[in-house]
Amino acid sequence: MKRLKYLIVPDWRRYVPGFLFCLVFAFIGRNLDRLIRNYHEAGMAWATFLWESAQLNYVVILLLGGILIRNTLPIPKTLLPGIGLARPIIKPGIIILGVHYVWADVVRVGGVGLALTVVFIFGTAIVVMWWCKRRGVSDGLGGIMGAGTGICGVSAIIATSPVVKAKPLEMAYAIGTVLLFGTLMLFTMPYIGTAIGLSESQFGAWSAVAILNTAQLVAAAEWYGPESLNTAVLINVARIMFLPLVVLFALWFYILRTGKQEPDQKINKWQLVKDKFPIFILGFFVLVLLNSLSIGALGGPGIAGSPFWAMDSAYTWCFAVGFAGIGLSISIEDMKKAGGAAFRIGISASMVKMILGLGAVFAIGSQLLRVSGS
Amino acid sequence: MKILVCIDGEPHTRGAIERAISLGLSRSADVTALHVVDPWLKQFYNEIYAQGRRQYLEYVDACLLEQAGQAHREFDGICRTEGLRAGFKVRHGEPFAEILKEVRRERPDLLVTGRRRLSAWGRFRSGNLPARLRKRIGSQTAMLSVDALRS
Repeated sequence: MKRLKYLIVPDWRRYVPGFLFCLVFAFIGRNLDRLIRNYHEAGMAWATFLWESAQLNYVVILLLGGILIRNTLPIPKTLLPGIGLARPIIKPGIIILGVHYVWADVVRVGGVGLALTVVFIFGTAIVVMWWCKRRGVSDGLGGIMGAGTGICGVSAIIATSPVVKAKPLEMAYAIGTVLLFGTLMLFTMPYIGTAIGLSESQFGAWSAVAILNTAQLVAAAEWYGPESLNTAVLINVARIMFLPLVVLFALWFYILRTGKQEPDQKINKWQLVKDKFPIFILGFFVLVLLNSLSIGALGGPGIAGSPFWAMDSAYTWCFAVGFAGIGLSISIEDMKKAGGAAFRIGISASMVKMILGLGAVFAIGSQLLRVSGS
Repeated sequence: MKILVCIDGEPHTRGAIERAISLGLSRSADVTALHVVDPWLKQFYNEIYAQGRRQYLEYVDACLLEQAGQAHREFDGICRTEGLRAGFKVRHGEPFAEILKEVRRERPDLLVTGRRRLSAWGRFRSGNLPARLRKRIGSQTAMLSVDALRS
């Protein structure tokens, strides 16, 4: 009992109101989604417009609704901690998504994803850091923008900033820039994908390599369709595994290579890799393994009443709560912090990744990027 | 007379400090500097895939503390050079709200802030803090925005 007590943060009560607010908002969003779909299937013209032309599903309702609420209504400060807590609920959703894959998918799509990841993630990180160095951008800003535009946006900035000793103002510029371009890409790429006829799996791969921030990436892929989400999550998992390596590269590029290590500073590279490794993806791979073994007692996502079916039903709720938290966290005031060299780096990296990523997914085609799940 | 000068350690507040000190000396006023530690960066510690959260929070705290210390040292140094005894305060929170709270609490006669020369886009991005403060501080406190010194 005493041990259990230590698992609970002492100030847990302050997270309750905001989290409950996100739960209610997610419930409303999911039910509005169902309502519009039902009216659309019943042949109502307005619902067909919203469902098909405007692509208004629960992802858009929660994100746009959240952004509208956050930026037009005075959100009580008591709600903010809980809203912040709701965002990472996407993470258990991603672990549960492991039941959608078998090892054949991981090898085929993950293999292609790995190649894309190595080219785009390392390519972006190395080019941005090198370019920043050449242009006289400070080491702190160059390091966090290289990692942020290369891997997973704000998460990478958080992992890298203490290593490259970024200044608070540089971190603010970088985070603002990643949020701004991540949000712009979230709301434009699905429409571009539809307009140019990208298949769901191609869009999933495109969003996984191009969209700067993880939250926006998952949202865009879920918005586009279930196949898109499956492909995007698998490639994203490959992408996130490289986080410790990119941080290590930044450490070498800015500190070790240039001899800027402080005399009393001991750097334990192995500890750094361990600290920055996203352990939760092991849970994802455990579920992929269990699904691949076809254990009868666990069933599958398509077998009604089985444990995996129940888990599959739960992931959309995890995503809904997470998207509610993301929408309610997207503040125009935060994005206005984008500026200076970070803005120029952000816009260049976003455009290059969008264009080259699109070319790559067209060249690879749909088949190699499709998750079969069986 | 009470003068409150807002400082953030950035070059554009240097002009504000010098003006506040010169007014303090000429009018024998009590001058207090206010530095607001803005914890905005800390809200991102629980991003979806964030790794090394504790290290990040500790690093941000250390940076903000260092910034406050630097602002204090700079202000102290100028005051000593000019021969003025002045106070220094640190508040934690969103700068606009914290400055307003301090003004409402201490009711200074004059609030001095720095002002950068910004384009319309720059003013939109920065939120134009001096203009927002001017609207909200009330009639009991006069406000002076001093342009950034040319380096």
